[in-house]
Amino acid sequence: MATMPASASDLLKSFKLKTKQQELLIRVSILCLVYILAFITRLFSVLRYESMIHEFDPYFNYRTTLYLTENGFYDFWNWFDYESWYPLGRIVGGTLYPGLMVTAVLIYRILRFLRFAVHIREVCVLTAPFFASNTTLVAYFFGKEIWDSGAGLVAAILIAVCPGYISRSVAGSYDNEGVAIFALLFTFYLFVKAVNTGSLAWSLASAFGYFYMVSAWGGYVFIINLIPLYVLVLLITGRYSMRLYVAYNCMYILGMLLAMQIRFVGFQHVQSGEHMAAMGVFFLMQVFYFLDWVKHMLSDTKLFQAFLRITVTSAVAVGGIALGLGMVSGYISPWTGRFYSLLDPTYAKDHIPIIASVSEHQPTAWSSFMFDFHILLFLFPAGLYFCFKRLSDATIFIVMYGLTSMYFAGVMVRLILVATPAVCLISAIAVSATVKNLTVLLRSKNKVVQTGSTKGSGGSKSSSKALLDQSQPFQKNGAIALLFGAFYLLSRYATHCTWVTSEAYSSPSIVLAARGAHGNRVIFDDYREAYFWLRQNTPQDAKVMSWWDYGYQITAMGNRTVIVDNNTWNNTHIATVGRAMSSYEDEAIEIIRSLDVDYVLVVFGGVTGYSSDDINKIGGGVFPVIKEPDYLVNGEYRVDKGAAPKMLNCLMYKLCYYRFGEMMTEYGKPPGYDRARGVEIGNKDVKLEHLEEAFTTSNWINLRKDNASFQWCLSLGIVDLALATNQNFLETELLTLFQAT
Amino acid sequence: MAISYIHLFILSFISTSRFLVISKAGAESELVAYLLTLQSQSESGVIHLNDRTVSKFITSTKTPRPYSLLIFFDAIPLHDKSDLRLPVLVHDFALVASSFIANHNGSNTKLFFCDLEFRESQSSFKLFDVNSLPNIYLVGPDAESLKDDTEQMEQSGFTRLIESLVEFIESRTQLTVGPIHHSPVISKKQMVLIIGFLLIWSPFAARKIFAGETMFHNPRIWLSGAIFVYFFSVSGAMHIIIRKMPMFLMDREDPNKLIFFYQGTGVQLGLEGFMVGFLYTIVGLLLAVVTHVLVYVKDLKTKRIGMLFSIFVSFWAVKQVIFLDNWKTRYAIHGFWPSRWN
Repeated sequence: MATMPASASDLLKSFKLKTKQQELLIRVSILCLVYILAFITRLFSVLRYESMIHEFDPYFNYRTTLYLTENGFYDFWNWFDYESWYPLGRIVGGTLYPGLMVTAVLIYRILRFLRFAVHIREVCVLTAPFFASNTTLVAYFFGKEIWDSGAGLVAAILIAVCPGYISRSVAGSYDNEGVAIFALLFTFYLFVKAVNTGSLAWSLASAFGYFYMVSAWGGYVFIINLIPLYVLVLLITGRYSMRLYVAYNCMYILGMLLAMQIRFVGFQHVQSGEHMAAMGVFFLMQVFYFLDWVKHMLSDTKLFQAFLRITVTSAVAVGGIALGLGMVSGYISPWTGRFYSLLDPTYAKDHIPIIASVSEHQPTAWSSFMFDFHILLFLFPAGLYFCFKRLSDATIFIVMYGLTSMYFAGVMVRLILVATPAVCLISAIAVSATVKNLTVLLRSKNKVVQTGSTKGSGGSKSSSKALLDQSQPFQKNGAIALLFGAFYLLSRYATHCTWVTSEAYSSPSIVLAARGAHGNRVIFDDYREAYFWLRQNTPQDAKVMSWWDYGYQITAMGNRTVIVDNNTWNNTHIATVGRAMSSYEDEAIEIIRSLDVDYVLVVFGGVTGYSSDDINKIGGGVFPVIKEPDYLVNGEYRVDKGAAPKMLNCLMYKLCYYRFGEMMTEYGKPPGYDRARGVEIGNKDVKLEHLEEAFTTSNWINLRKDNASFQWCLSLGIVDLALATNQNFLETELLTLFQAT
Repeated sequence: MAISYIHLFILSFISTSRFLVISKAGAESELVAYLLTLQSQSESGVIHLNDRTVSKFITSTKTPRPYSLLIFFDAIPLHDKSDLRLPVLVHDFALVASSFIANHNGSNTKLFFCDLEFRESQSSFKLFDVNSLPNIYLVGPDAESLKDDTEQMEQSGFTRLIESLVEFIESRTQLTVGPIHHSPVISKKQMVLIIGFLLIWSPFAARKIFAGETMFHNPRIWLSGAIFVYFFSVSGAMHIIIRKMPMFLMDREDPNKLIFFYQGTGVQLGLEGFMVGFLYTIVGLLLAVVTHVLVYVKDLKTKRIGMLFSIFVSFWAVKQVIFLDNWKTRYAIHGFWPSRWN
């Protein structure tokens, strides 16, 4: 017993780590915790509802993944889908980015190989959180590359819970962006690493990262334009180096060849105008290299300058002529609408209403930034300043990434997602540099901090505080107070993020939740009720007409053919449906018959009355027969007695308000009281001549009387994805199915 | 030319079939010729009318007239009212007019584009019974009374004036307008000049870049550019540009009051965005200034005051932003302390 303490202390001594090892251990354990945190914070929806796919697009992805697991890759590649865009059909294999599906199937196969009996749906549901976890690791390494390992750790923590990223990567949101942000950041990291080291291996890796990104998301265009822009800035600011030359050329050539293997991209990568910047910079690099070589060979500077003038002039001229010829001959295609709308933001509104009408393409108001970034928004300018104080190739890159993505985030709400990693990294630099200096101050042995120390590492609030108080005894206390302040603010950030995730970003929007009068959660499952009704009760070959939002869900869950779906590739077809919905019943029935439609699905209820003005814009764009003013009274949509006659008699109105006039919705209000707009509807006696009611889901009847803030809405337009998630609306949907007779 | 022959033919047909009105036809062709000269004198082809010419061309002629007049009602004092968008409408109207004339090779005598200005033609405004702007009236060949027989373009058409004006003309007069000739942003000559300039300038620029003596080598310029881009994005400037939001609104109930802040997510006003964008930016910049500039200040007192000042301002700015956000979105963003403490 007496020897015990001695041996124990020996044992302890042998376990005692050196400071470096300790630091490593702490770092690794923090990273592990962050990895887990990033995963579990995205599980709210699984815990609250069940393991299911969310929203609209993910249902298409899920359906294709299912097809891929069942039929194998080659069938998937050649898949022609008869069930959507009836009667046109859709070539699926050639018109999608397969990265997400292939990734999910790969994970599925690995799990199966390891004898985990999972269903492919669970894999799909958890793919996005898994990749979010991986993104935190990439953010750590990226932060380490551009600043130091402390900044890397902070970046990993920040990005793990940042709402801007969580909005697209919660469990169940099985969409391209889920893996694409990982791929994007990974490619950037590898490229910066390649530029920093000049190593061929890293640039090769970044080319493969780029390939993965191309296979996963159309946003790869951002990479292929940002990297040339970055290289161009380096060239202009006189930071040309052999490292840059190796990194860019290898990445561009190999990345291009690999990207062309994706069928959806194909030769676009060398032909379309969106990729021309990369090619131009590639040639410019060669010119730079050539000039460098000639300068090396020619010792005479005058001779070299003459040579320089001639070369640059001819190079610019040749480039310009080639571009002009390519454009004129049609070999180089002009920019697509989506890309153009980023450069000239007003373009989309005037020329492509269908893009402009989607709520996630709306320009961002200041409050959305606050919602998605919280304190990062305040730290961002400070981080920018720190980066400029310590300029290197890597910090230039992150600054450019931050600024361009910030600009794009201002143009479109959904692009906040792309800006999030950059904002996290730059803010992490600010946080890390500040905290580091505070702790350095705390650890210093009572001695005054020299002014010189702040010069080198960028300094911080505390060190200046220290200088301020150098002759006073409060120096350390001040630092401690500021340190606590910083941690307190960061903890507020964490609280905010968790709260946002829980309240706003974790609703599957297929099962809806509202709070009842007593604060209890009420769940409405009407969508799925309708889709399963379709699956069980309609003939196999039935065609369903609905507004395009529900197309993917009907095919995936109802297993029935649809006329239009969320892949809005054919505006005319969409407009035809819009036209049928907005014309009188006898006109509509002709369209319905010509499209061979058996069922019409309308969603009654919705989020806001706001979005309903879009259907006529789109319908009217192609068919001048439909004019928006016909449905408006004094520029307003109305459904009560004062509504426009065309509105009161259009198919959509009739289907939505069928049998609604006899129904009491709220105590003390007349029957047929529309709760979304707070009006009594204008046409209570709706009679259908050609259509008959097939099925109406339950929440129409089971409405609880005390549920006073329950909302109804005529959903003519597009369900607001981004806006809806930003608003704490109580929502419900009522689905009504009508059978064409 | 062919059209004018046909036109002459019609004219002669009319004159031969109705001997008695030869003199009238002569007067009419005189009017048309006068209108054509007025049209050619105007740069865009829009004829500027006043009370005298209104009576000459419309009220004192006998119907049916051989021409229709499309009249745009303008008021120069109202040009600075941004919600009326009068200058834009004037420009669009002129564009349609010039395109129409160009598409008919100047041989059109059926339809003339005119405008009336409120200050100089008040009695004509009364004749048309026009009380509000913008307004466009079509005076057809048979219109006797300017109040009742003329056709007014719908107010909803003014949001997309060019398209709806073309539609209006084509449906009411049975004339085709043809393609609209938008003037290109850069003309061909300018294009050639710019390309030439670029070609000459590029070697000089390249030399400077090689030597490293452009302003692009100054990090300060990059930094201020970067901060500007940040400010521009987070203040929602793109939102203002795309949605064409005004800087502020007038309060409908009390015209002396201005509304700067708009309640509701997804929509913002101009000044509101800039104010909040400024608050966003100031905190980060103060942190940077404190850590990189203030430390070099020798005087202890200045340093101390600067420090306290920036702490106070940062605290106030963050608090203000959170307060505004909560007010705007009715969504409780987390601030300095739990929201139940408020």
